[in-house]
Amino acid sequence: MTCRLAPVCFWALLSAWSPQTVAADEWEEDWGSEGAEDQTPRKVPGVAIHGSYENQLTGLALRAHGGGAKSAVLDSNRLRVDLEAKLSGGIEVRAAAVAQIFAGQTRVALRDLIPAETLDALIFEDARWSAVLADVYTYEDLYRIQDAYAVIPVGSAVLTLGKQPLGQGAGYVWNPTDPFTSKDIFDPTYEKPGVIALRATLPVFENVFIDAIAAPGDLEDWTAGGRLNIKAGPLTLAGVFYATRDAATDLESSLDAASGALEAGGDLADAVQTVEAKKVMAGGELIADILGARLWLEGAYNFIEDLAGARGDYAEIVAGFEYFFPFETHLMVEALYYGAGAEQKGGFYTFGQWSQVLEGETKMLGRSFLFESLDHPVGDFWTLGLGSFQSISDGSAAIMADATYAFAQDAELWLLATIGLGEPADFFGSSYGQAWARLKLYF
Amino acid sequence: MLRTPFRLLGAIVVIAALGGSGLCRAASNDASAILAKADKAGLAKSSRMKVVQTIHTPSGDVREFKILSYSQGGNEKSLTEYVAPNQVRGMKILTLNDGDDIWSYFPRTNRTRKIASSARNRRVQGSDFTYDDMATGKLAAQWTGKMAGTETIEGHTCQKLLVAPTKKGPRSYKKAIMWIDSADYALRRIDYYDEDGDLQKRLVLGEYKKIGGVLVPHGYTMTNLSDGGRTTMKIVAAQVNVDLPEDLFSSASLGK
Repeated sequence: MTCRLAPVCFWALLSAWSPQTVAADEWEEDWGSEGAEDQTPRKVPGVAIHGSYENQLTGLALRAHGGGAKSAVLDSNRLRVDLEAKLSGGIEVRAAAVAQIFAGQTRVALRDLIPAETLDALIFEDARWSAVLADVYTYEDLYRIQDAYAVIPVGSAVLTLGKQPLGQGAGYVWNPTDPFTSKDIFDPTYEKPGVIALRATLPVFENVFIDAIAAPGDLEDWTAGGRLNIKAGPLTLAGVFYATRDAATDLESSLDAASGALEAGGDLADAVQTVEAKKVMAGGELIADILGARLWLEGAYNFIEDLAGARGDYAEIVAGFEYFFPFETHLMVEALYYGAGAEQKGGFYTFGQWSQVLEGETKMLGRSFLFESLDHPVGDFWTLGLGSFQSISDGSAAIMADATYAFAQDAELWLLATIGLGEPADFFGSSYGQAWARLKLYF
Repeated sequence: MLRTPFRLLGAIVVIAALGGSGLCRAASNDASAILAKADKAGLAKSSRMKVVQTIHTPSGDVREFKILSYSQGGNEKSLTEYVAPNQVRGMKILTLNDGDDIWSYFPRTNRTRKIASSARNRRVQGSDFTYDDMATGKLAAQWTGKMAGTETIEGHTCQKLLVAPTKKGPRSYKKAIMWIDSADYALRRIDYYDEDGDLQKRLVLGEYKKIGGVLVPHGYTMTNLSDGGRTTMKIVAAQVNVDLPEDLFSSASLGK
């Protein structure tokens, strides 16, 4: 199946709906009179529609290439509509469509996103880069089917088919054993687009189940594998194995092609050379609860096919803990070792390394990181939080402060401000920071 | 001459001590028996309920949630699913092993997260019920104590019990006072005391209906006496001793 077929499949399943077999939701089911002998719920036909509207005002404080600061302010409006239907036999169909429209300063010069040391070194090597770097990073409007999938119980197993959310792993910010989802480190719980896949969840014994997933991608960058989950007393364990692909873009070797594309007014993206190598990921996770603290360890070793330009094998491990104090303050700490992270040479990361992060091919620049957060409920519906990231690799850091206010039922306001600390060439020090004000309304 | 009065006094003390401990044991046995009778009257092998939860905050705000609640094994396992408002629609909380294991499911990201057991004293969705409160199961297993006479609560003559949590009981409270109806062993009221021994919360249960031989309170209110907030629970529909699928209480099935 390709992306184009996913919505077709969704509508085909929905066309199987008949008034006798669909329930809007369990709340609407008629359980009959209390104490009656017949306690079989009677389904009520209907489809549940709900969703959310979100407006986010973002301010970016960038380090201008020529020195000094440069700001960008943009606004986004995001509408999400969810559809749920329950068919007979316990089958459910779920779908969500998202439209996001940007306004304001939606085009940011690449030279203001990438540190000056990196760009200057690049241009020094080959002056043609100064032309290519006139390019901009654009926040583009998007319209997409976020999810469209069916949940089908088959005996004791559950099959989930279609474009579905596939987040996995015990880690909060980072998930070494998740080949599908990459999180925004400043907003790790935010929803992400689904992945077209077939997922089978199968209980083996009482406390053991298998989660197998096959995602076709475009049939060349498919992913297949799964997890064996075991609950052993106070411990939760998982063994993970996936065969997938690893993409590594080599922008610096693409200069000739990129220059040609720029002169011809073509698409730079088509000129870029990307090496896609086979990857096998083997790992696991452990969750334990000791003296009220939840501890987790999640890690994987990635074996990459030996191709010219491909990344080398690497390990990725996350360890963390969280604790809720009696006075309701919540503390969370997480540490990451990321073997695929680039290391600075000469005090800066290369343009190619920055590009891989912007394209989502690598998660971070640097190898060792720490994350800490504290949050505390204040008053009736306020929660205040303080957090930070540290890069042990390059010595930079980001400090975050946020406040969430659920000012009405089905409404919340989230304010976040981050400050980047460190040298301009460092991962967190490359920008002065950013601030968000996000209003979210649910309907 | 002095030995005799002291010996007598000693004997009287010993006799009193022996007799007193016997009396204490009797009182404790009575309390355990009352708690067991309350369990028999009010606990079902399994249950399914539709509940409307209304939170009245100290500042006067009101928030309402619609919840589907499932339990099994006398609340040893419980599943709470939020149906409304849409902000929390589809969110689920699974508690296993009398609240020792707490799992949260977030539908938009399809993620299931195990919550640290230290979260037991955390309010659930801003209500006056903590995860510990939600994991309340067999009173006789979770509390131990002694009788303290009878009192009338809202027109019902009740046995008054002074209790403290056992190892299986809630960890958020140092002690509690329970009032159990003398006539039908319905639990009428619980006063919860915090670690400092201060009265912290009061749970009042009422509108009892007998369903399938089980007394089910159709309305109950938890009042937080330290900040003045309160949460009411209104059971809209209830079924007891129903056949519930075993995988309903599995963390693997939360995304279903």
